[in-house]
Amino acid sequence: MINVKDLTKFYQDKKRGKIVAVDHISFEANNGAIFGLLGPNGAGKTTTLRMLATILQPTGGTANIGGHDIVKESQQVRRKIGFLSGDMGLYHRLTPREILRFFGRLNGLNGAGLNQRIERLFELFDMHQFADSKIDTLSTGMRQKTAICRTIVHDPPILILDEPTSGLDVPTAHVVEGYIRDAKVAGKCIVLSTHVMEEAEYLCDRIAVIHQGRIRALGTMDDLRSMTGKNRLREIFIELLGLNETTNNQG
Amino acid sequence: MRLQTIKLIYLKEILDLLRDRRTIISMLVLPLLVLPLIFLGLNYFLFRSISRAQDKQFNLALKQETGLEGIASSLEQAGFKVRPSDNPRSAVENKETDLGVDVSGETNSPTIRIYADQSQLEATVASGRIETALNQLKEARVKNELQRAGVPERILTPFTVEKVNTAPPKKMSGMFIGAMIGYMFVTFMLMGAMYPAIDMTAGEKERRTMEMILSSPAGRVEIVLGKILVAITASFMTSVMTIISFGVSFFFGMKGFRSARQPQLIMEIPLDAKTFALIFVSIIPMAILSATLMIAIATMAKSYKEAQSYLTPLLLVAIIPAMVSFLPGVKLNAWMALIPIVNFSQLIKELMLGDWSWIGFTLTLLSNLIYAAIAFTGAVMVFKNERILFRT
Repeated sequence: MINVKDLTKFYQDKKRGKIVAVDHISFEANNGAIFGLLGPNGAGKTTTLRMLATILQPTGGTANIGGHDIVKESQQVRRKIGFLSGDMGLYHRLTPREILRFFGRLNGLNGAGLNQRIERLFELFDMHQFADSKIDTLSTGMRQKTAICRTIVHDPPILILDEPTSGLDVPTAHVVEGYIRDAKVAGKCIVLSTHVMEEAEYLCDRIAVIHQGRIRALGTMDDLRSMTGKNRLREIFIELLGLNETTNNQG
Repeated sequence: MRLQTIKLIYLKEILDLLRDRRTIISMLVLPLLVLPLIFLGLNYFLFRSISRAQDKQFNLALKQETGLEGIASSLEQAGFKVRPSDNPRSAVENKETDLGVDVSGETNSPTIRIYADQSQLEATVASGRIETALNQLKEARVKNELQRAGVPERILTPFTVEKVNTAPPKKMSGMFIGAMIGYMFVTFMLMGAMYPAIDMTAGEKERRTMEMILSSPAGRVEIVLGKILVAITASFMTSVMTIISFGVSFFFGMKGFRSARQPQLIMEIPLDAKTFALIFVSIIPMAILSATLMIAIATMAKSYKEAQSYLTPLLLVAIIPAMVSFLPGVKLNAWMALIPIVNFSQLIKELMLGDWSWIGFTLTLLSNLIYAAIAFTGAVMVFKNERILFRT
């Protein structure tokens, strides 16, 4: 369970003054469901997810993740989550096995239990062949598999995924999407961000359309359709972002 | 703060660094290579050429206006190839001969000039040989005259003067080595910490792996502490390498010194167990200080290159105060013990001289620890500051 309430983040920029990155966002994400944050680049998706992962401190509001407050109990929150970003790097000079061991141990796993878990993941993602090669020498697909395993090595109940398929080719993205769907079936609570409408529709049970730090619409895909009166994804998106008026004026 | 987490981060970073060529070079190869090269170079070029200059047969242009006898033959005896010349000075200047000798003035008391290009080490040594030969000739003549006049020879030496150096050999070598090693320690310790520090902070930002560890159960203080400990290890290892390398090259270098017939330069390695232990102890706060400082500053940079451009000038600036140890006669007083880097390089020198005080030692240790603590607070603050950590 994730319960986000009035989550807000602003920065002071010397030149541009106060920048509101996230503006009083509230939503709920349930177990066994995928919640999507959909918005263009710079909408505040990454900032929101980073706050949920306790990497950034909220300026206002808070969120409760698996029964823990992200501000007051950040450490307990980090034990419950797996955080992944599509462009997130991996330690280049280590091997997948070393990376999984490291993060497994950080999460309190060790010994035979950890080794079994790692072997299972290698099996699941068909990684045995490159399990002991340095990340440097691996392809993007292999790296992304490693990144996913790194995120879930401790089998967290909550997954926070920041554009998990951005920059991936179709086969690799397919592996990632497959895993996300499996995790949903396994009863995990998943929040992901994307700027691709099709991905949101394909994966998410509920979607929050976010633009300029605010939630513009929230609901199932059908809700969004009836809200906007549009059928095509692109039109819904444009409608919700309020982009069509400007286009009309210009046109 | 959990020790287990810090240990995990420490071991991971060590493994990561040991696979990085840049770190290995700055930590192991540089100190292991540079010092022996300096020593071997010194040994080879300086002392080898001195000893060669003592045996080599040089060309010598001789101009003799007066009837002074025996000059040419005694120079030839001293191993010079003498050939007559009208202008020995220009012969030397035009490099026609290595040296020149000009005997002028009255036959009774002529003046002898030796021409040598003193910017050349060999010529300097050779002109010394000419002087010795001419002095021998002079002495022989005086003795002859005395004999003829029936005066006993010992009138020439009514007494003898002898200089005795009371500095123990350890102190002699400490003066020379201590100054150098204090400076080198500072340089290598800062450099040893620099690349690991950059790699673990700015490097990690650049490779986008920072969020990964930040979203794990590890706390920020635990992460910084783990990283700082790795930088300390690197700095410390570098200094251990420096000591080993110094000891080895010193040992072999000294062999060269002895064979080069420079008895006044023969030195002992000034490292007894106590000195060694004291140096060891004083290295620790310096390693902590340099490691923490490097981590704090490198964390502010967003890329490896940017961090390098911050730290390289810092390295150069920090090395200048270390040069104080080259100044002779400077004592480590209470004020000086409060200046970071200066206090350390001076303390190392004094320890090697065997001429140090507990006050200087303790104050240096304490003040460096306090600076290290300040740097540590700074590093934690930088690491907790998300504006700096996620600067784009």
